[in-house]
Amino acid sequence: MKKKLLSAIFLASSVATMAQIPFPVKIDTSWSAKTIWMPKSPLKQQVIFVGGVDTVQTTATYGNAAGSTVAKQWHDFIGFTPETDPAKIATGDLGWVIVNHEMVEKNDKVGDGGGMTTFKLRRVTGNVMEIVPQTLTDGRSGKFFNVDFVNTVGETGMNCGGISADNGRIWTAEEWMQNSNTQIAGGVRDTSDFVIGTTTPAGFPGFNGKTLKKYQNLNWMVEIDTKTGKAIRKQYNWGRAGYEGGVLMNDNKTVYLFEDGTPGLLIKFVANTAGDFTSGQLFAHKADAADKWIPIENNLDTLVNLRTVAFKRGATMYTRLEWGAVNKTNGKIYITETGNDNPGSAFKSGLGATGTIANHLIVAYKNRYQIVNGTSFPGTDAAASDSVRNGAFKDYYGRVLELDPTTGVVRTFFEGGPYHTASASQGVNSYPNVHFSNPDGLNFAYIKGKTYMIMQEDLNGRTWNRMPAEYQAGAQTICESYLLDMDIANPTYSDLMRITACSPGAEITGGIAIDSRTMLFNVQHPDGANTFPYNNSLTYAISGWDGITTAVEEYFKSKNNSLFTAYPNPVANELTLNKVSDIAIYDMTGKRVKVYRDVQVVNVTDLTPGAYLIMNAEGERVKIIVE
Amino acid sequence: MRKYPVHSVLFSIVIVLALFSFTQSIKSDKEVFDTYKSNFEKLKIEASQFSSRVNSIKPTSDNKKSIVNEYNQLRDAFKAIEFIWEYTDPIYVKDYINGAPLPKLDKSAPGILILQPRGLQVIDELLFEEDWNIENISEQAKLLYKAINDYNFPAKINDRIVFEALRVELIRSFNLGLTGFDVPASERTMADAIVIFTQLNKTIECYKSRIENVDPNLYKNIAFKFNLGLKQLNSNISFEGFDRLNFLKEVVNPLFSDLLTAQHLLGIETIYEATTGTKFALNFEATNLFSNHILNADYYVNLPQNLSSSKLDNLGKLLFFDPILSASNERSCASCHNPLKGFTDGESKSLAFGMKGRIDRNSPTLINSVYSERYFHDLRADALEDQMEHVVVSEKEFNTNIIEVVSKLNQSKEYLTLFKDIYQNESSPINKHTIAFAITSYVKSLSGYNSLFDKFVRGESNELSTSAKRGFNLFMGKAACGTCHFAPNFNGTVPPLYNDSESEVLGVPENPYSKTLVIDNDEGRIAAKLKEGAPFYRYSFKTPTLRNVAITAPFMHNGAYKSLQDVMDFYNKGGGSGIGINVPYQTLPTDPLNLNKQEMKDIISFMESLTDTSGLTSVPMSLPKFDNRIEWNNRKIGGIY
Repeated sequence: MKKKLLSAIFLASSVATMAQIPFPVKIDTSWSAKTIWMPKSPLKQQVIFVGGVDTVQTTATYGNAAGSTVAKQWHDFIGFTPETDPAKIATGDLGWVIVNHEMVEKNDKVGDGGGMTTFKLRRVTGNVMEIVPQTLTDGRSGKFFNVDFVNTVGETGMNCGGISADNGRIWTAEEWMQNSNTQIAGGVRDTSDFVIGTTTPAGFPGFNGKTLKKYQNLNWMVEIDTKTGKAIRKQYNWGRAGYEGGVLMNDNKTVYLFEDGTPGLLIKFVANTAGDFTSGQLFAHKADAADKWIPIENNLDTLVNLRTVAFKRGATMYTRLEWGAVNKTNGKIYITETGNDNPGSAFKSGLGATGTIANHLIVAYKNRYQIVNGTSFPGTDAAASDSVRNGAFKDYYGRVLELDPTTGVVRTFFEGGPYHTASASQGVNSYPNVHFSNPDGLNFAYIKGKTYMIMQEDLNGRTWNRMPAEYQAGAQTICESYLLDMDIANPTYSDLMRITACSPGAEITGGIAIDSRTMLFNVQHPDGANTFPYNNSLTYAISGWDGITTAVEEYFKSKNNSLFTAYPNPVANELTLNKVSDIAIYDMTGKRVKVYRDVQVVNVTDLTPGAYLIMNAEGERVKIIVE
Repeated sequence: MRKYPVHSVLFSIVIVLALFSFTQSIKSDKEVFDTYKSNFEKLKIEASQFSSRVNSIKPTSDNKKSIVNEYNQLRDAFKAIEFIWEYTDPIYVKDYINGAPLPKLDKSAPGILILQPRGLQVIDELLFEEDWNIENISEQAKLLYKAINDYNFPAKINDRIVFEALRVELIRSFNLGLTGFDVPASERTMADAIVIFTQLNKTIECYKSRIENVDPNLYKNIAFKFNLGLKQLNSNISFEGFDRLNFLKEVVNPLFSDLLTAQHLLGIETIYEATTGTKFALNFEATNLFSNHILNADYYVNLPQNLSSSKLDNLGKLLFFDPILSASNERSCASCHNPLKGFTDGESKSLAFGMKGRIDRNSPTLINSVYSERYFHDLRADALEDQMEHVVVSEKEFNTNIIEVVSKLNQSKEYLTLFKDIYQNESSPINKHTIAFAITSYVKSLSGYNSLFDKFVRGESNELSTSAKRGFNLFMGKAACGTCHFAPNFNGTVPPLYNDSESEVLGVPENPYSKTLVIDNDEGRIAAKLKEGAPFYRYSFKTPTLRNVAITAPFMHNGAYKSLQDVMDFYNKGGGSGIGINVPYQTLPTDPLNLNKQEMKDIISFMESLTDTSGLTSVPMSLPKFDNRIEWNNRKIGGIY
């Protein structure tokens, strides 16, 4: 990476803040300028599974014979079961990948409701990924296989997040709480009652023979076998809630579950026997209780109405918990709390009436109050708590939480942001380089002895500065994925490093490091305006991380240089300037092609390879070569 | 080194120029920003005063008057900054300040969460109700003040934003302001427009010397048009009497064009230079509100880049007219979308597969249908590309499936060659997406604004009848048609950014000609998408384009209305509620429009001036052959029904 200084080209730089240079439409390009190479990223990106395009092998259902059809869309969670057979590992086999489809639709072959697709992944020379052809135990042969829910445990709803345990066990979750059969009728043809234990594999110990309304058989965690493409059981004893994600701890007994709701629950389950999750004790988090957890009895009526029961008993109320992961380096659990623009009366009436306001929300509310108003919150913590309960906390950025499993204490690990002052007398000087809002996917990567958090945004909207003014005339949000070096003490959003932005309008999700070389991501519900295949939900791999860490560190270090210069970020195809500037980009015919104002990071992804000149407001210029 | 000195000279020139324009630019965009800031503070004060006023007094008739006065001042303060605030943060303004007074869904919530409306339009409705509910008004006033006070001021504005905001405001003011769209009750349209045009004029004055430097006449023209516009608005004319067509031709369009010229001449960057990897529905380079390409068709579809569009159109056209896509090889897209009937079939509801019964809804025109965020009468498809599959698998339509269609097409060498020629990098060039892209591309090509009316607005023709001219003014004014059928596509795609498509609850009867009127039992949008299962979407249907409406009878989603006269009569009476049907969430105003016969005739004349199918109706001469399925080669172009 070249880091030569520019030959400083005069012109006083002490110009007024509102200054703006109309960059000439055309310039002479033959002056000499320092050259910066934009290297091709050492990371290799490869699309591996496209919804609506790739064919899945199906089981016999609704009287249709086993066969094939196109896969469902709306990819969300990615689960991974590692290959353990040394002979297979030697040939490059990595393991089984399973993808959630966060949608509900009637489908004659895949089955109604939500869905999942499983496949086996192999990595060959040059970090090229291949799908391994398989023949499953039920006789299906092919590359991609759908998971049969209808004929095994009953339909699911929107398969969103889940648990991908280190030992390869997988549970899928459905966030959208269903409250009536009418509500699901559009996506589930059979709304007759469901009797537990009448399907194969048979039901659940203790609850067999019990009858549920069809909608009540949704919103349970479901265990899946990635190798056979089969659903194993609905985890009735973990309760019915709008779960989005969860983790299985190292003891192979303790499970934590995160609910996407306002209010949302934090749930714990402890199995009696390691590895057997059909019996044990369920708890809901109550941060102000002495032992932090309130027990929930293993009674189907209670479990069906878990939300009502838990909040009535004063459970702590979260604002939309999403994904979580265990940091194996310190044993703590990190959970995304995506936030809610308009909590309204959710904490005050209905289920919220008896729930407990989370302490970290009080802290976050006071923090926002101070920044936005310029003065600290005038009342007591109890008054701040009342404000949160009354819907005063517009939690439009969200945060990452840290749960210490040894104490049950939850604190904010870092807040989304930045917030800006509300005063009309202070316009924001520039759109921040890093603006972190509405975190959703979260996982950890361990690369060359270091621990990184992988996070993905899922923007709830474009207001509150979540998208810069330039993009407001379009209809799209652009979500990004970030890495955080876990060695950084007391990190903030500004320590985040952008690794990938996904198709406009889409949600990037599912990020998981399957080993130190490869991460998998999903792109979900992209905007119709994207070009194929990026107009589909898809799963892609980014490989070569083992070769990138030096560049990552270098990138972090280079940020604080004080002279005008630019650094390429090989990871994200962007150029970082030494300071916030107005810049114009010219092609080598001298034609102006881009003008970016008040930027420090310049995205060059839509420049076709070739040479360009970048000029700043002071007339200083560098030449960049995009490879 | 002979070259060197030349460079130095050039370089210094650039610097001098840069310095020169630099000092001037401080004047213009800083001035605009400072005005915006102080006007924003004014709005805050007005909102605060309005809130404390309604909170503190009893609604006697005198007090009512003074409250309405305060409200008018609040409106004026908002309208003075609308153009910048809306442009820099449209969603915030829609959600908290000036959105439609209707409940809507929180799209970011998991599941269905209904957001109650708030903001100026809600207050407008409350203030002009017979019986005041002072608590409601007070609550809304408080919410509004809070939303203004809470606002996170956006990143500073620059010259580019100023010019774009000015031009976008011309579209907004003409389509949403002057039509009465955002004043549901008070009809305070003319006063709003005066504030807006005054403010736009003041804004461009900040650029006077810079524009005069590059083209003195240009600035003169702009100033003249603003003065003319303000004169027309100030002529004390009523909402109903205002000549919108004249205002469009003499003021709005010339300004829309001249401001773009000024932006270009001043070397101010375009939005396309300032953004990366995003598309806009509004074409910012268009010079007329009725330009052929004011809407960017490529925004609404997602065709792969680098494909030859003429080849793709051609292939799409073959597929469109080829009955091989249906199970019986007898029925094609053209079966229900006949080019000679404006790509409809003239039936109330189209004939179903196997000629057994009818499909569920009326076949809509495809001309200019591309300009929509969602497709089908119930808005169930998010993209035009997704639309095709619904038809293929529907038992009442093509009654087959994609895998079958692909396998049939693959048996034709001729088709395979055509697909391969376009999709050179695809391992299996015939698949669901490549078929969908081709058909989409063809449907996209079925667009154009070259009707008599378009040509008249653009000044290319003078042949518009006076009845049609009156009709347009009624359409955009008294009859309020233009508040749902938005110009220039006259469908539910909302100006000024055209990136959202609306549906409406009209209360269309099952059979308007029967003695007892009952609502058509088709539930529409509520049943189409799981995440839209909100009660206010029951009986809600897409607002279709009115272009070519004169040749696409019968009308409405169920084809229940036989003539435009009957449709006009339905609207004139206040829709379903107006003719005595109980329609709980009707979005169409339920009061009669009070249009007389001549006025309805005029509106129909105007709609008739929107007919234009020129160059769009040709049919392929032949269809690709099948070598081993000779019997298929006798299939009829366009199908047998």
